[in-house]
Amino acid sequence: MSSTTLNPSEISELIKSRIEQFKLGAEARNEGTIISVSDGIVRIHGLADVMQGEMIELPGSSFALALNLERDSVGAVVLGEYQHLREGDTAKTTGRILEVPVGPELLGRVVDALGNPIDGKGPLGAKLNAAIEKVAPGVIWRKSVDQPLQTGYKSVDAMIPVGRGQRELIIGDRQTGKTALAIDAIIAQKDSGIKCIYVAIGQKRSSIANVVRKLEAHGALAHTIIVVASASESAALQYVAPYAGCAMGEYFRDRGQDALIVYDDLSKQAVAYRQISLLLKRPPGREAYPGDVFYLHSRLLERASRVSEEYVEKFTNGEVKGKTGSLTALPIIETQGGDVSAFVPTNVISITDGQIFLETDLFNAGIRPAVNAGISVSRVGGAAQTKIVKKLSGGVKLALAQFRELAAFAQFASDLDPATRAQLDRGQRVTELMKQAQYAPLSIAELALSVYAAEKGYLDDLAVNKVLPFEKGLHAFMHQNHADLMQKIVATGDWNNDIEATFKASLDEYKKTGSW
Amino acid sequence: MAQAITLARPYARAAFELAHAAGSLDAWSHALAFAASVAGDVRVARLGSDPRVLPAQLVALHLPADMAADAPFAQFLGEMAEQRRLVLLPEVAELYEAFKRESESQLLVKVTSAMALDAAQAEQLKASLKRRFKREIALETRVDATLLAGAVIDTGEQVIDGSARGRLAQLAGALSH
Repeated sequence: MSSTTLNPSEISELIKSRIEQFKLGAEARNEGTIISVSDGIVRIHGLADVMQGEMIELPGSSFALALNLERDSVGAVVLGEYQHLREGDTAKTTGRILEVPVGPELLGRVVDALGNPIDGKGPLGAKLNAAIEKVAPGVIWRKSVDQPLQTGYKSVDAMIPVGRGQRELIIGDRQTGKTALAIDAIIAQKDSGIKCIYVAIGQKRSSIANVVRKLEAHGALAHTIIVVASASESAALQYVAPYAGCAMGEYFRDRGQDALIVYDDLSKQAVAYRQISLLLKRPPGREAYPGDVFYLHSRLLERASRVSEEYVEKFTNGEVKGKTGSLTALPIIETQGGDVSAFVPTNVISITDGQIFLETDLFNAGIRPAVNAGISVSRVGGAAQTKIVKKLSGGVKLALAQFRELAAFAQFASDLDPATRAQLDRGQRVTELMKQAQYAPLSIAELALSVYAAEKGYLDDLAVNKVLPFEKGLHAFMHQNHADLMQKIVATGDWNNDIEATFKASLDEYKKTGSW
Repeated sequence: MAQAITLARPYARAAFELAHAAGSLDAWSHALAFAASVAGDVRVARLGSDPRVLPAQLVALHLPADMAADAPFAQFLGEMAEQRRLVLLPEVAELYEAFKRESESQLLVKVTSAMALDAAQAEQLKASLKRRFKREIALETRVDATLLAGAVIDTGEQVIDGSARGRLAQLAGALSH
């Protein structure tokens, strides 16, 4: 049991409701005997009717997950503590697969992999439970990705756009800002109405506490569910946590809402699954991972999807009409020494709809977020980009691409022809412009303004270290003088000649003030 | 490590098929029960792993007194002794009985009740179990006062718990999570 503190009246209320719901009757169940307990794995004799993935009830109100069905025994992994189990204890089938509570009641809460609250705020009060393993919606029920999900990062929204329902991998070595990027994406959803789920797998409890504190400080906890399977919890819980989080996200998707889920990170889940598999004596394959490690991630990420109006209507029995639902996934993979050709990174790269590469060198060079724009891609996000950003961000991408080609010549700047030098200068300024502090997401209007300024050459005559102050002043200037236009752009995402004229006039005017 | 029951299964199936073909299921059943009780003795188990004891001597030890040394059962024991598998005899006997019951479409049901069942109750239980499982029922009864009231019916795979203790445990489970 979780150590939540309750006042006495709440406890008796709970007991009363449980007694009312309690159905008394003779129970007919399949029973077996535990023949061995080791490293969180129990082998059970009997249980002839058990199903793969079924929950098995063990003494002391603990549960195990049946994973290996063999001729004379069942191999199951205990969810949580296993020290109290003994050889000869009885094990019963439950006829159910693992379920977690789902629903809007979970927003703002921190729960463990089984959905028990661990934030000391009392019981969840969730009305529904959902199975953690579900088959993803079929092709008929899907819709292509055509709505943007703003991460609030200039470099991501302009060059590697993410659409609602997309799976975009965040990959990089340790300490390159992967979690920071994901957390900022959650904070940026404060006003977008997108519900967020942050699944922390195999992390230190201190880092998780930090994330919770940061989300709370930026007012983003109210629309976020945090699912925690920390490093000190059993491998079984770390393996189960992403599926539990996904079930919570699917609740919103299936009811015509938009949700964003961050899996931080899937390499640790693969390691936990490897541990379970090896203890179950499944044959090891490449890097000692079991044979089905690809399926482990593909079935999880396949559940992130955009579903059609018909699906939502059918699912809610006509209660919600004319609304599409989406679950966007931002899985995180940690590479070792930048090696993206290792087993798990290649798998997840091939499953997802694009990846954001974060690099140590860029990070140490002060380019934060350390996004390598050259090898980061978004395979479907382009179709979902807001009109204004799509129109304006082309120049930025091109400038950076040309800059990378010429970067090697940067040392000989004085010997270069003017055209090349102009490209180098532009590239340096755009690179500088793409830097962004943490917890400072930009709206699409601000983003559009920044990339417009870069594309039209307003930054070219600035010193490189003045680019960011210039941008900051520009945003303040626009919010002061053209607040209604900025709001209109955020609301509609339109781009037309009027807006361009206003942008141009404002930039000229702002540039004259020289106040940055 | 493979389980004893997995190792015992091929021997039990072979024994069953031999007995079935010869039409002597009951004779084999008695012989196996005897051999199993011998093999279950710790002193015999020690002999089994002693290299000085010859397989033939072990066979003689496990063979019922009324059986000839060249009977099919003796040959069966000889084969098991060669493979040093005589320790598996209890499991073999158990599996053999299961195969036998299956062929006779019989089901062994162990009923544990809080109070002893009288003959009428046992008959009634047998009839309703027969309807439910659609097999002949062999009833084995036991009394356990700690059940408080009611009975637990165990068919080996299915357990039907209708005891007061089981219901209290269910309630405790519902209240604790």
